Amino acid sequence: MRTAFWIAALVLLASALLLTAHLTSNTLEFSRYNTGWNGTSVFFSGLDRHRVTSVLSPADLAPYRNNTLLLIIAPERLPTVQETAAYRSFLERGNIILLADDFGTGNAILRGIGSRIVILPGNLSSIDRAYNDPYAVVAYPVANISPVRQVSAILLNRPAPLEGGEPLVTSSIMSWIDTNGNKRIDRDEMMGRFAVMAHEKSGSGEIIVLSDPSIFINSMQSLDATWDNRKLTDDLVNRADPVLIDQMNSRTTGTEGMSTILHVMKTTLSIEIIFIVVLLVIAAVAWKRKLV
Amino acid sequence: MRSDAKYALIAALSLGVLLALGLFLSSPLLYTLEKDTFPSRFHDNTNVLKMQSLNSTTDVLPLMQDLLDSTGPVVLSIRINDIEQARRDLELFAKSRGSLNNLIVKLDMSASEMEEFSKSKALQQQLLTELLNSSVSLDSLENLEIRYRDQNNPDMLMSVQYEGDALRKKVQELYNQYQVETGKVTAISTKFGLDVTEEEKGLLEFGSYVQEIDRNRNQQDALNRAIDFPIRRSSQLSLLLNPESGVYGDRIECFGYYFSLYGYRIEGVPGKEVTVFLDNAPVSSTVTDELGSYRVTIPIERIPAGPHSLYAQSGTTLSDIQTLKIQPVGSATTLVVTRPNSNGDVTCTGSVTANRPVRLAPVQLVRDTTHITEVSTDARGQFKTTLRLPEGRHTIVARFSGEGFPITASESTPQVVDVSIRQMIPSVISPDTKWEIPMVIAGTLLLFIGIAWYYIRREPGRGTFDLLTRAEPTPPGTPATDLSASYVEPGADEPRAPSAGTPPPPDESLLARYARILKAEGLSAAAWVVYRQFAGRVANEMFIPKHTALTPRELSRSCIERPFCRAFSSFVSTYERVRYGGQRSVAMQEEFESRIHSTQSELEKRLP
Repeated sequence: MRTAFWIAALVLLASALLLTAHLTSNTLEFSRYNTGWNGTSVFFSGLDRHRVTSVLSPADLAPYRNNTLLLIIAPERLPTVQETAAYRSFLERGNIILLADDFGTGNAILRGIGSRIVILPGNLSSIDRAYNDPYAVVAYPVANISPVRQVSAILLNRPAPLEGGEPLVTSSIMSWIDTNGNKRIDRDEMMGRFAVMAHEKSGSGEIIVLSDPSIFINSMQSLDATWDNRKLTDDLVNRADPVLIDQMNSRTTGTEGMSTILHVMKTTLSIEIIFIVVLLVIAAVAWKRKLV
Repeated sequence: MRSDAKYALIAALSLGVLLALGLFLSSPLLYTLEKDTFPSRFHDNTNVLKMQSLNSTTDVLPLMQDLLDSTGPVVLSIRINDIEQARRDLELFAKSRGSLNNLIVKLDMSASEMEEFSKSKALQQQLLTELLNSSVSLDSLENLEIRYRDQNNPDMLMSVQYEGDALRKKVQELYNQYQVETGKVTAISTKFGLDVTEEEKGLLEFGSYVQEIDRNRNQQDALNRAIDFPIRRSSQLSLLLNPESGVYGDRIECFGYYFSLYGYRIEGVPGKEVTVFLDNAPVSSTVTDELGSYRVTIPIERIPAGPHSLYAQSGTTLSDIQTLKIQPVGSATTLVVTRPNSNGDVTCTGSVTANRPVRLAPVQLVRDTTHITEVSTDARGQFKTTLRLPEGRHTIVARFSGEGFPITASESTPQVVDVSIRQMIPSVISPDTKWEIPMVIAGTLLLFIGIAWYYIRREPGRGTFDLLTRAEPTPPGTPATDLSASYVEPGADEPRAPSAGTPPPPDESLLARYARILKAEGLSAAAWVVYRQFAGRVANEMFIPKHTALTPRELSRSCIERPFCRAFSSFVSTYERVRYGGQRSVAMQEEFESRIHSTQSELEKRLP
């Protein structure tokens, strides 16, 4: 009887833990809590906490100057006036902003910080691909500068074409913009080479635009060694100067259900303390009543 | 851990699991392919995509370069009259073009510059093949011309000259078309960074060849003029076309008059067989009527668009060469695909029309851009075939290339067919009804609860948590009244079953009950009642679950490290002798009663 009870209890406990693990994850696009193919949990779990800092408010950008990199991945809303001012000021202090966006609000940020680079609408498609999908575009570096110096080819997932700036990475000549989204080339869609990563100087700072934030999602981080996606993202964050990740306006902060609770608990110190205290009290009461 | 705490923990965990599962009631599958392939505007799930690594620099552009480099040598071989080499080069050219076409279909690039490149190359191949055939014919005609000139046969010489003129005219037209296609090919290739040197060289060779055959013709004319042909009466054959141009499906009336000159008199010649040639190939024959006239009709079907030479021949008499111009027309291809049956078979029906139905037209049914099935339209321009599709989502397109017809290419709207296991394996649950899955789950849950309830309730007197009140199986020799003997568990409000006869008073003490049962049923039954009372209390005190499943000795051994255990052990020893040893003497009864007192006394010290 005692054995049966403990087996049942263990099974139920394991079920509860599995369900908790499942429920604390989510399926939101780019969410750092999403362990599925379209989340960014792999990228975020690989970050060095001593070197990479999350930016939760515009004021967090103020202390940084000279060559600090700010990553803005998949912005989901229009930037506020304070955010835009903080970005512009950040650039003026000689720092770098890397915006990774295709179909979000990246153009608004670029306009706000005075960039001439524009993310064009339409899915960039190419014959150069890794899967039977023209949106799985292979792109090649065309400049020998950081952060693409060590990269030979990257695989993108539904990138957008870029206009303006100096190209760093482009698609092959056999690429086109699928304006109607039918995944086929049509008579009015001409082949050509399109930039997917470009940069430009902005005062003493630098703006880099990558037209595919999907390079950070889990399925694109775990590609084989043919593609240098991981190398590119690693080179971005493993640098001597500080790296900041924008968590003010990014789909990577997306939460839902229990993952929202977890997110709030992890990011709010007071709630975290209260939670630990409650757990300790429960344990103490149980001990006193000799329940355990 | 206390029993109630254990059950509370189990209940809490079970409730938690059930609540968590309840969150997924509307979509009970935690991980499905559909969930992983949900449409996203940001990206596609590469985990479910088929690997197909392709590099334009290594896979596509070399193929295009091969095609570019193939045409120049073909023209050169024709020009130097190395026909066999030209044929071999053309075969290689066709092979390379086939590879590029397959790639275009595989990549679904039918509307791209690659396709335009391929189409131009296909036209170039066709033009070069015709050039090769014309070159061979011209050589033959030149030989014949020399022979007839030597034989002083003006009729045959004239016939050969006519034919030669038609061929030279055709070669010139071929050159014009080749020039246009080369321009297109060069423009696309330059954009893709390909080397067009050989392509341009081929065009130059072609132009030189045209100039050469014109030069030869002029030389032959000069020779022919030098020959004095005798004037004699000869037959004449006229040919007229109505209309002189048309589109697919039109019918061209070809008619004329066969006559002979007798001085200044012209007479029709009846009964002469006349054959009409289109591009030097016979297309229709007839016989002149009593007036010497003839008439044939040529339908425009599988004849490429463009100018075509037509002439009539009767014996050695040839008509003038007429030009028939065929204009290209657009086409429309339709496709209807039925729902797949249990084997995954679908029926594809459709049609090809170009103002009117296109008869005997080859149609390609392209599945998922990679699998091609060839069918042909019937006399009504319709086609029908059955395809077997594997499980999955498929796109089927019907394509009509228009090759060989004066009709432009067309393709149907893509038809999407979903062949799923649910369709292939008939299921009692319709997947379209979203409430059926939760209802099935609820039904299963209810069934499970029902079975569990039945299992718990199947033994009379047993409740869900009433685990300590089960009656002990009657050992052999036990009085029948023991089966329904009533007893009260410590803490229980009421006895579950009355003893034989009248029910016991609610506040009856243990000793009073012992005395009553002793009097009514004997020592064995009375001892059992006392044992059950003590056993329940000891089990409760020692947290021993299901103590009724233990023998008195096992229960006694389980009772350790408590003050009452020694007394209980002595009691059990005496109880066993009374109950199972059959010792029911007065002395034994007295000893048993003393054990009752001592045990009760010890238990009451612990449990007042």
